[in-house]
Amino acid sequence: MNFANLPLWGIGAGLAVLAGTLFLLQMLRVRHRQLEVPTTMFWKEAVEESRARVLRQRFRHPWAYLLLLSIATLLWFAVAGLQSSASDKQEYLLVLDGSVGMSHPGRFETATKRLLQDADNLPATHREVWWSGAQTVLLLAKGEHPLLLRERLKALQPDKAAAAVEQRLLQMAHGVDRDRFLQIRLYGDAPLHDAAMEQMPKNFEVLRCTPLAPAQSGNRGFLSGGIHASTSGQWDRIDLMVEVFGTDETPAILSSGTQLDVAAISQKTAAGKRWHFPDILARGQVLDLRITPADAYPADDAILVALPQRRPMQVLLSDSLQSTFAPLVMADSALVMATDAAELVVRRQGETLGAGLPALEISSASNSTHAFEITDSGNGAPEQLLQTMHAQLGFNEIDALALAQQLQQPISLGVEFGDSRKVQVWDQLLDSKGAFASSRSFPLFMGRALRWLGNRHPYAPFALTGRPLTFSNGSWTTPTKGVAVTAGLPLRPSEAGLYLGEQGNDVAANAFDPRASLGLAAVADVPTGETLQASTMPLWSWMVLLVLVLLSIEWVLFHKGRIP
Amino acid sequence: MADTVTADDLFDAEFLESLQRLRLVAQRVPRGGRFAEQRSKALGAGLEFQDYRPYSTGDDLRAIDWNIYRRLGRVFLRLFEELEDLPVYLLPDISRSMWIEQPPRAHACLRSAMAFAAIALAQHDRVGVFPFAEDLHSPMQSRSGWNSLPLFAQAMAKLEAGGTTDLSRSLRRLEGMQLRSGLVVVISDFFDPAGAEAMVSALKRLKHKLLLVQLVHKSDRDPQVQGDVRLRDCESGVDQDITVTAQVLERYRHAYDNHARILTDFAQKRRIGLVQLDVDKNVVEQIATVFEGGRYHA
Repeated sequence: MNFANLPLWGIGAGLAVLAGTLFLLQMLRVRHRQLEVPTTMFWKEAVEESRARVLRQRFRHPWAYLLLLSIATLLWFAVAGLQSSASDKQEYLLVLDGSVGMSHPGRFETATKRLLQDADNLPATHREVWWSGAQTVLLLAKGEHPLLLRERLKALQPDKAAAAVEQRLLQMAHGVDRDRFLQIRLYGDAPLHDAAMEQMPKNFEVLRCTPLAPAQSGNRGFLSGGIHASTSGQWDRIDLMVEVFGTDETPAILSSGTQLDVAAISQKTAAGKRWHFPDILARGQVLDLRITPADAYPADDAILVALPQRRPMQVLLSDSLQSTFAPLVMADSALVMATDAAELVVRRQGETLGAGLPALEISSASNSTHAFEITDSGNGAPEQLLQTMHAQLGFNEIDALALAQQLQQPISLGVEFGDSRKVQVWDQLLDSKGAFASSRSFPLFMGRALRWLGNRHPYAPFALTGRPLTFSNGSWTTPTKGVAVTAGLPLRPSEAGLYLGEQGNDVAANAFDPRASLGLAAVADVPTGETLQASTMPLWSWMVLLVLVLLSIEWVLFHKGRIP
Repeated sequence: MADTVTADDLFDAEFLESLQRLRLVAQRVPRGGRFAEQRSKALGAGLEFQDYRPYSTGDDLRAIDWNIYRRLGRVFLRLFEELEDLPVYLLPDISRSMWIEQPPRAHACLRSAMAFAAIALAQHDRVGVFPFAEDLHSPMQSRSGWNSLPLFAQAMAKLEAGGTTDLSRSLRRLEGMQLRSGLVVVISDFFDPAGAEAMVSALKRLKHKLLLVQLVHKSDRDPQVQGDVRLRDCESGVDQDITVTAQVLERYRHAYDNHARILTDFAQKRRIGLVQLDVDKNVVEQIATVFEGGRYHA
């Protein structure tokens, strides 16, 4: 029952007020027209008793009063939108799949048509309509008229986003009223897996209300795509890899509208062909990969790939360390001798060169407690930093026992937090005849230490809609939707497109849907929901009908003189 | 209350002219009246031979039939039918209900009374007027002779509205006057609160010939009333609150028709005249309907 959330006692009080008001009206004195007649003897015979309703006299016409009270009560209930208790606990959640898979011709139109039909035929107070595309959006709230839904759907097209209905249903399942029976009616092709459906509460019933997607043919497009550090070892280049199907043509690669001429290596896969484009200079540009010509399902005909900014880091070398480190810098493609703006410095402890820059300092055993001492900027748990640095800088590759025997001193690693990054190493370890300098771990450690000091942002090898990037926090914006994610949270691209990183670490997210791209026929996963018919008349309509019947009865009784 | 009636309203030359062809004819009036035109039960010196009877001392010798004496040797007298007058007692209803409408039905009532008075006086009958309401009101002296008509008119013009209608009481009062048997003409709307049955019972007890004139108005049977009304009985002053519906009207008509039927049945059984006189129409024309061939046989 919906009486604007009136409790039971409120309904009872309303009925009492209604009955009392009608009773008083019934008792009110009638304003009579006075007539003088020759005789009233025939009128006395015509009326068994006076029809007048006189205040403070005995209550008359109980049947007329009951009839009137019934009519008034029914009208009140009808206007208040009375519903049966059976439907009181039944709620409907209508979900329109707006994922990229719905871009197949006709699929979205079929889903919206069924959705509108069902929205029309369900009680407005017990159904909601949600859009599940790049975002989850409430399309029609409880109580809103379905005409609003028609208007809102006109502006909608499937997003370039992976299907996320299943994830959102699982999220919703944790915060629902378990006393209410919820029927979830899905309009679209988003897959619903058995494992996920088994986690749904018992009072949830999930139905798919559109025909299963049939098999499609003749499509071609990208199945996946991403980048990887160049296998040639060059710091400033990356390898690009994509998997396509349906065509043997090499995908076109455009950068700022200009097609790149890049050598490619292909390899057949089960679904199609994997293309490997090696050693692409990474300068933060965005590549637009296309398969031409476009087909009936254009959602997978083009993808974006954002390349990282991989310029070499400029290293400022102390004169006293030129002989030791200059060859190392020149041999590493990630490093270059500083010419204008140094990004990090290599110096001896106590030198002021490159003050404020991240520094690799060569210290002496007499001044430093630890053979390796690492200072990170910011605050945090030292144990966590120690663990991270041990793996990241390659300490597990260093034979610390051999070094300790050679130096006759214990080799230890210390960590702390400070203003800027710094790595301190004993100069004894850099002795050209020493075990460390001659070991293969030395260039590895130095290279990793200098890269860590350079603090370049990592890059995402790939980004998929609906999946978070786990490597970094930061802030990204999209050209149309503003801030997509704030610092402190990993980016979870909701929609395919370019996300501009605040620090130049742009991310290009793609919505791959292999099932939709390959045109595979959908497999029945949840029960099918029949389209609701309009035959179910709402309870208020029956009440209005009953009121009309009662009015007819009153009319007949009035004309028969049974009621005044 | 409507205006009172003047004597000029009650009759005029045209009115009297239209009554000339109407006559009241009694089968036999009881003896004891004055010489007039009605056949009486008395035998005497009339013109029409009626019977013989033996001579007794003191009889008029001129009435002896000498031819019979010569044949039979016995003395018989020839008897002739006496012509006497018919006493006509007019009972106009002057209760309050007769005066509240426009025009008041008392006008028609008094004109009817005047018509019967004129008819009776024209044939030398004796006329008495006994207005009634809750009782008889100041009876007018019985008169005969055509010259009495203006006197009756002036007396009737002075009548005022009475109270409630009580025909039974009025008739008992009339009966108590021990009047010579004649024709009683009751002119009324017959809206007696005691009901039609009580009125008929009272009429049955009357030892006179009867002629009933029921004054009706079209609104009596079809009142133009709808909705919630308070009806005030003009005679008793009692209010009746009712809601007039089609069903109520139907029952009203049924009650009215039943009332009228009781009067009609009584008239038919007793073979007496009953005129339902529409007060909005010409009085004489309607009265004439009971005068078959211009004669009403009382």
